[in-house]
Amino acid sequence: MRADTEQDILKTELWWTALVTAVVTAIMLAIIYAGLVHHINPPSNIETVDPKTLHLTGEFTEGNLGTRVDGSQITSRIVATQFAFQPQCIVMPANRTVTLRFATPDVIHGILVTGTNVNTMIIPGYVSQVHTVFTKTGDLLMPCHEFCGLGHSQMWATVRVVPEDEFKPGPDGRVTCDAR
Amino acid sequence: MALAPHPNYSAQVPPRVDDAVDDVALERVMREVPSGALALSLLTVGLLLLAWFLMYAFVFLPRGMVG
Repeated sequence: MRADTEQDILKTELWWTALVTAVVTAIMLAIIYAGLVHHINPPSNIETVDPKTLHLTGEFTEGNLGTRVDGSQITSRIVATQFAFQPQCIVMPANRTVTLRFATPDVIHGILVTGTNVNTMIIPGYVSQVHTVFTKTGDLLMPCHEFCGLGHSQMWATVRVVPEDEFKPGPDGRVTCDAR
Repeated sequence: MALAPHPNYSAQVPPRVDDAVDDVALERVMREVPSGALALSLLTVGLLLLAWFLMYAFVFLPRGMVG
């Protein structure tokens, strides 16, 4: 092979390396921009919970599940089990910052809420927490997206997003799908 | 005692023939092939990148904050 042909190939390889570096840099900058400006970040809560006593003590007992308003804070607590979410339906107000907290007593699950960026794993021994703002009203599907056993495909819940003026907590601060 | 070569050995080796590729043609191919590969790579990577940015701008960002 002639020397100038080898030089041409080398030049092409260097050019391509620069291009790929630029592409990766652009994608990284876009991700950083989304994180810093639009506050779109992967859920990174690290909080442990005892899966053996999940339903007996602490915040994930049956009476505490679902949506609760505490001052200006709106939090929904959901337990993911094989093969159902408890509760099956939660109510959330539109255009307010809300917190979703998940725990599981059995195996690894995962959730996403359709049409939103809400997406997290639910791992035994840890509390998964997601902050978000729902902008569209309606019933949003929340399926389990991590294969958790034979009934995995039947495991889903509903996030009912209602207009802010229709979001009315009861005297105990709770809002349920049944009450609406 | 040295082993005698197999009588058919020489018949199994194909005779060396000129492959009829001259250096000028080889150089021309070596110049043209990288251009085609580069064009194909640019097209595929460009389309992939375009799809990524369309999803980013029109699906991911409008879905709003999460964290």
